[in-house]
Amino acid sequence: MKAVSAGPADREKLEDGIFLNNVSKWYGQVMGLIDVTAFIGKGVTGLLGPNGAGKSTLIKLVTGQIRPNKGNITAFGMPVWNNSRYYRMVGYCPEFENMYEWLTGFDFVNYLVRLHGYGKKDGEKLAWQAIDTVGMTKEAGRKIATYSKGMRQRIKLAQAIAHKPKILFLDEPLAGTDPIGRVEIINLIRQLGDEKSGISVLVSSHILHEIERMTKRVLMVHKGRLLAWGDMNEIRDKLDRFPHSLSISSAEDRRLAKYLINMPEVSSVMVDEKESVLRVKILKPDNFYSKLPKILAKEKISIDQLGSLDEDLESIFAYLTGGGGGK
Amino acid sequence: MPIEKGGYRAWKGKTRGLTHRIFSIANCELRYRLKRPAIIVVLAILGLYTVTTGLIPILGNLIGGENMFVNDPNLYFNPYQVPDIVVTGVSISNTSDTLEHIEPGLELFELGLEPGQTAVYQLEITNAGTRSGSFKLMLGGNSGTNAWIIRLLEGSIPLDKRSENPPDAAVDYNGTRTRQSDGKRQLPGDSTEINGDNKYGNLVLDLDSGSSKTISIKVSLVEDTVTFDTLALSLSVSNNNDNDWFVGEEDIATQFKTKVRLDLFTKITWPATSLKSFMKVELTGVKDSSGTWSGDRIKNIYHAPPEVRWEDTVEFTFRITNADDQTVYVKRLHDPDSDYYRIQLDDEFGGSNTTYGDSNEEEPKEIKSDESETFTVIVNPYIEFKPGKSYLQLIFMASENEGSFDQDIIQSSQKGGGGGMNLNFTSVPYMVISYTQPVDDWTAEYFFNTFYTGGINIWVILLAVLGGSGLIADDRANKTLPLYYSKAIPKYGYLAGKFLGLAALIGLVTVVWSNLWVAIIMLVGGFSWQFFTSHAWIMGAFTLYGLIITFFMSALVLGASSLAKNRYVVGASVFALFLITAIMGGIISAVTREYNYLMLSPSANFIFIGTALFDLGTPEVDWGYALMTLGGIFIFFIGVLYWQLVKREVSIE
Repeated sequence: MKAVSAGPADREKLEDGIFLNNVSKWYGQVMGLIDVTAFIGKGVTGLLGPNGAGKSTLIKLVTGQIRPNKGNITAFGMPVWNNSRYYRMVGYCPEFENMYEWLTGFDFVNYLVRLHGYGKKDGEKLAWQAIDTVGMTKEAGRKIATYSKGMRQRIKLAQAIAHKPKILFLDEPLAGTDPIGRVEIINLIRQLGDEKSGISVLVSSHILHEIERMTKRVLMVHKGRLLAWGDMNEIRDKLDRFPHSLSISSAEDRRLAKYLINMPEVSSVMVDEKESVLRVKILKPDNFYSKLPKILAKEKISIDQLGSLDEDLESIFAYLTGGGGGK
Repeated sequence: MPIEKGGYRAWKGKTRGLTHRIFSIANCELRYRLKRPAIIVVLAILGLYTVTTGLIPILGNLIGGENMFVNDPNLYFNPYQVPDIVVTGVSISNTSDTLEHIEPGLELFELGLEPGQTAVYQLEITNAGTRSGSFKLMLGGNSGTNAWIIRLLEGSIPLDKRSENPPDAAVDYNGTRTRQSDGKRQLPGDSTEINGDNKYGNLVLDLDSGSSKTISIKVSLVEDTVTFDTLALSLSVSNNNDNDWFVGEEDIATQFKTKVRLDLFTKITWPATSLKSFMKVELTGVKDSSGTWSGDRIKNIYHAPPEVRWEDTVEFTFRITNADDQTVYVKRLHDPDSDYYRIQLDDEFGGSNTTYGDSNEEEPKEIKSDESETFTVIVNPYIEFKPGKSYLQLIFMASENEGSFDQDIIQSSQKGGGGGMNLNFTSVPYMVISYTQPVDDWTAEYFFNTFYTGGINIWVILLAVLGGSGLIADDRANKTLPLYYSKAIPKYGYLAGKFLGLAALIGLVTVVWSNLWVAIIMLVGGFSWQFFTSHAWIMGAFTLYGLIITFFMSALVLGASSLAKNRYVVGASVFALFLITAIMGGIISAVTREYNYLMLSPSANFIFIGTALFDLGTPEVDWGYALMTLGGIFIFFIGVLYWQLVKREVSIE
């Protein structure tokens, strides 16, 4: 698949989303993003790429955190850099994990929503709505220091959506979440990006199939370049023929391995005793991800973490760019 | 909760302006900091310190009434002025009366003695100082008649030490052989007797530090009715062999009131080292354009260090520069008015010599145009009459020729004094009260020095460091800056919110509490409303000074916080800045004898500004320059903040 420049012709459409026009960003000698032209419209758009591909740079650019060295970015017809009016429309869920540990989840969301100018009453109302939306109502009175990784992701998501943004940027929102939480957040993102909501969601991940469950529209970046832009089905057809590696962490890893190896989609399972994880090679990821929760529920096995190995995504991109198969 | 129908943008709530958003940040930061244990501890210490040092006098004032501390000699503690007198026993023969019947503090009082009766007073005198000294007992009185006799009982006084000039010619003290007033020879061990009108007798005791001697005094009445104008047993002290007597005296009638003091004398000592001060006096401009010499054109009023004590040696260094275009002659006139300092001159003007207050002119020194001469004066203050009232004067005289001199005066106007302290259960609160008393004419100095020790209280620095080190450093370390920078608040709004949060924390102490503290002392401490209104300007000074500290410290700590990702590094850096600049400024200033280098230290600049603001005298460095220096540092750190957080793309990190 070739990199596609998304250059909508009519001005009206450009002013209803974010438009990156020949944007480049470099840090000294290092290129962060190279000559990217893209349009992010309504609904959910996935931003896919391995670590170091330029995803975070792109998100920082479109959220107005940094300026492009070349090209320009407009959102709804206005510049994004240092523009408070634009920030009013933006919801941003950054990747970091450390937050204000001493605050409760509610105080955290309430504090940040008030930075948009809401008073006490309105701020509290909006904060509770957002907390309710991400399913954290019961835990909102606890201090963030006591939250699990998944809870932190949700409360971060709550602060991003609390002020009713027009466009939402979610940087790796599924990192560290458990499978059930993952499903809930994916559903929530889909709901947020629903056509009825009228908002744009750009969600980044280096896990292809997570993105695929949220949207069919993706931007794929690799080594600072926009590699592909378009429908996921087209890309997936090619990827299904390519083996993927996963790491699964579970207290009952050996029992889980027994069930995994019997799945037709699994080509190999290796117990990594050093890191206490299972390393699993799969084909047809779609089938695998739909079957896995059922097996876990039936056999009452809990897993702590499910992750895609970076090098495999690198391999996918190498494959997409015609550089050969995986490692 | 489901997404609202009709779009997620359905919210129609009103939003508020930038100020509200800035205050939201400030409010969150302040509230969090006020819950942190370390900050609570610092605030508690600050509060406790200022309350104990500042409000204790209130208790005394509430008990004793207005100006109690100023007027009550028993609470005005100065061991050099009032050697401790302990009445170990009192008996009056032929009468049941006791000394408790004597009304204290009256000029006229009745002894309550019948003719022929005798009262015996037994006193113990203790040298509470660190040096050996001589104590002179002056006995006497003025009754208008010759109808009484005071007699020191035999054996109580060593007779080998007598006053050199006994006032009563009839009493001839001569070594071990004396003659009594009746002309009879007095033998060793005999008593000394003084009688008659306006008669006084002096006796001298040598006492080593910490030692005591007991004496007995017998007063007999020989006529029917006697009313005393005064009956005094005065004690004078000297700390030198020349018996330069300290003039202070205590009326024994007043001292009897304190007979319950059973002190265990424990001496608290302080370093008897030389307090070396590097102070420069530029006697430039001694001559104006008209060529007339004038004594009042010298603007350098030189301050002696405060708390000059008996044991201290203070060394002053002066430099005189001839700003004229021709050679002048300069000489000094030493200490013409003070009896309370010994000045030792040790310089190229004529070697070492000592003066005790007499005029002592020197040979003039020739100074060519634009040249300078430096010299040193060593001062041993040995007795103070009263703390706060002593002056050290050095008079400089200059002339175009060696014959005609005009005077320029440099004098100290700083309080001196102090003395040994007796430590025991009763004297500790006594000491605290006496050292914290808001003495009338040092009010501003008292308030300033009590609240801001060293120009900027160490606890205020600690509070700023604890409250501000992590303000930006933590956001940088945790990468939470994008949380703010993606909100509808400009970057400088974030900066202002953080600044305001820290400033509010510091201001709680430097502005709010300081003013409250002053107001409480003034209003509750037994002072009059007139006192409050006439000294209300002090609160204005506290407010202004507090704001200067608040803004400076907020910019400094916040700026440092933006330069690092570790709050501990930030805190250590701020402390290091204060410490290193103070040391550097002190050393360079000492070596070059140039005060201006002290401005390297923010603490010193605060002292200079505080000295001017609270009207404590003329600071060593012009307060305007000090303020400009602090302002420069303030602007520098604001620039750092602007660059680090507004201009730069911080999310690149």
